[in-house]
Amino acid sequence: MAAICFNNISKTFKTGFKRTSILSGLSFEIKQGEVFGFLGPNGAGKSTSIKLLLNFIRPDYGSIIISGFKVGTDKFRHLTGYLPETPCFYENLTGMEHLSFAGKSSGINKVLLNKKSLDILEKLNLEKAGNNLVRTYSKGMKQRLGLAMALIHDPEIYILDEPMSGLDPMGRRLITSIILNLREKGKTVFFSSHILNDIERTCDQIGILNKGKLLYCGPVENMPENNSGMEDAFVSLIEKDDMITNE
Amino acid sequence: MNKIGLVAWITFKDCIRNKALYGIILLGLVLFFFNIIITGMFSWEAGKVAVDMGLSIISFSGLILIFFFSINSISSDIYNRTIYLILSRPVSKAHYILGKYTGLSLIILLSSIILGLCAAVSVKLSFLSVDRQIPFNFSWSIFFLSILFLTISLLIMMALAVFWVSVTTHQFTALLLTLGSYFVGQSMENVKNIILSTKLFTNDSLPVKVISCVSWIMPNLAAFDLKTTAAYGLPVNASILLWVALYGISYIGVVLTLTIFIFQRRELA
Amino acid sequence: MNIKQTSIFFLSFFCFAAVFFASSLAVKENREDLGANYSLQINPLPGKIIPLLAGEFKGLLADHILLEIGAFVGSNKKISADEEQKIYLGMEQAMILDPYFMQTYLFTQALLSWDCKMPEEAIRLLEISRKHLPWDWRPGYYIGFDYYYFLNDYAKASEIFLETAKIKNSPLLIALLGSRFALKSKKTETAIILLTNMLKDPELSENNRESISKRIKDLKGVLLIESALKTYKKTFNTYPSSLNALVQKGFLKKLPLNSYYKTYLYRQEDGQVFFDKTGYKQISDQGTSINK
Repeated sequence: MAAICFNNISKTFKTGFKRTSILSGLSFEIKQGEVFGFLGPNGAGKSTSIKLLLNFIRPDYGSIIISGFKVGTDKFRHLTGYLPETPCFYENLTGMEHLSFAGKSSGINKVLLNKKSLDILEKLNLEKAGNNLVRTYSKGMKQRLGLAMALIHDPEIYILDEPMSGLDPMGRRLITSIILNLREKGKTVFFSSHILNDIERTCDQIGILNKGKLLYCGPVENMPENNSGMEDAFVSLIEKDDMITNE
Repeated sequence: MNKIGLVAWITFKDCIRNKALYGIILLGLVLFFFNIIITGMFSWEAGKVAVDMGLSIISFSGLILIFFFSINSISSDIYNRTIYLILSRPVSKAHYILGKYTGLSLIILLSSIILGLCAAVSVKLSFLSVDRQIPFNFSWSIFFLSILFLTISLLIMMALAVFWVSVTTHQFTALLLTLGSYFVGQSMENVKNIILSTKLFTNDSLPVKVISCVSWIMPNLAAFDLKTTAAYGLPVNASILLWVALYGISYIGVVLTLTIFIFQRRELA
Repeated sequence: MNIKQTSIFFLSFFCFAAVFFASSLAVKENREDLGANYSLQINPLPGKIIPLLAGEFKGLLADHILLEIGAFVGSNKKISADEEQKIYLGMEQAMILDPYFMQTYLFTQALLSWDCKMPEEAIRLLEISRKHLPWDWRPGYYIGFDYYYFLNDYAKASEIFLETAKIKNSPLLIALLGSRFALKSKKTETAIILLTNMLKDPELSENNRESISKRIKDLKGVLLIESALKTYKKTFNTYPSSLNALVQKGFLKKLPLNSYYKTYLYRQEDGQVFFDKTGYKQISDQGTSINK
């Protein structure tokens, strides 16, 4: 059974009287235990896809299935962990309180929760800041706290929106190692990024999105024109597509 | 239920640590000192004035909490996308709305309790300083009853604020609509009385009909206003008060279910 | 939303709506009764404090208070003593908030003086208007009227009327009334001086000039007779039985004629002289009412 399955998804946004199409006929599948990198230039529709995945917005057309549950009707949120792009927190709560909310809402019992929270904070180098208000956190710390909230209930599927954006090399390495760790444990990771290096190192499969259409979906090695490195392959793929659509 | 509690808990905790809240409570306390000073300027019925002022201050602070604090709390959740952290967990939008409402209402309750006690103290002080001027029939039970009803009307306003924030796309629009609802709710009855008293309009003329229609949609906040009753120690009718309380609670219920219904359809892009 | 959620939603919505409907009906019915004795809501703050709280919305607040009072009085309910106090407080607030507003002093006169029978309070507020509106004769006119009609203080009434008569474009009536009251309060000379001054105004119309001249003539006649009466009283220790006696006994060469009646009216008991019947009657009425 596929962990995540997009079936012919289309989405348009209304801006004034005009409708702009963000996604058109998007279909792909992520198998269980895969690390899937979702690539694309800015405005390609990556964030929209992820919001659809979490039911923050609804597709005009098509359906998304996560582990056999239909997004929008079934309840399966305990199965997924989500890290938003530049996560925002309640500034007047501490990191621990956020984790406690995250854990309790996902149905973890109190006794276990405290130990788990401390473990995760340690893993993410946040153990000292756990009892500080989020207001005092740096951007990197917030990103890590966001990840901690995605990890706390030990879900099967991780949805990470630009997990590396705005992080220093240390932070990026930490997150990369966590993703690799999750892969070892056989979890499914779906993350979007535009930093190609990270993707090359961690992903089993990638999907390349441009202007709402999937240009490529498959292993990194099989990318067309992959002889001179992934970056060139990515750029030539996007440029080709832009030329076609502009004509 | 548990999840509503969780959302309420983080909302309450986040708000209670907000410095703006202290500012509002401080404002309330300053006004109470002002109350004592003003009461001293009165030659007649100083006790009545103290009761009036005290209750008005509670109401005023509560309204500020709603207009500036609660609306901001929800709309910043939506626009800063803090709401993603909540909705990406096994928490539905209905849980979110009810949790937010409960959390913010707890803040209102807390402010009513704190300021209510302050009001009681300032009223007591004014009675002590001018003891012969205790309003005829003044009773503490009516005083606290009046605080209770005032709080119910604040909770109604809170429900309307939550409704408008969830329905509109801009915080400012929500603020204006809430403010508008407040004024309509407060003056609907008066306006009707004025229109009828001029005798220019009959009961089935258009303006009166329009107001009658509005009175089915907007809450009649004047019904919750027991300030005068408390200040003069007028007799209260228990069954009427019970109906009024029921009216308020059911109104909150209707508004919140509608809010959930609409919010569930809203896309959080 | 799945079926379970939808049904929960509709169920709770209809439950709430039903309770709301029932309680709303009950509340409405109860509030209808309340509407019948619609109460006056006036903030119990002293007038001096109100501007501090109103900030830049003084005018708006004044309008609101006037509307509130107007609606209350308009409901034709009997006004209790307590509510009279409230009206006074409200009017004071409105007056202090916006002392230039004409509606406020008109209301003050109509409600406080007439409806609530609180002329002294009304005068206090009207004085504020008079101070702020030196070009408007109405506040002064109302104050004078209140002194005369409600308080029977002719001296004060004439003083204020004559003061107000100096305002440009004020109706002639004020000057005439002022002089009339001056007569009653034995300030005839002051009135004559004031009216003579008014005659000097070059913009005075021909008609008005004539009226004023007439009134001066009448007042001078009164003055003449009064001084003759005084000497008569000194000599005989009593007032004469009629004015003719003054001529017969040689205190006056002849009786002056006035512009209304050929002869002046005279009351023997207190030696009062009048130039017309109304003045005579009013003084008599007042005398009897005071006796009562």
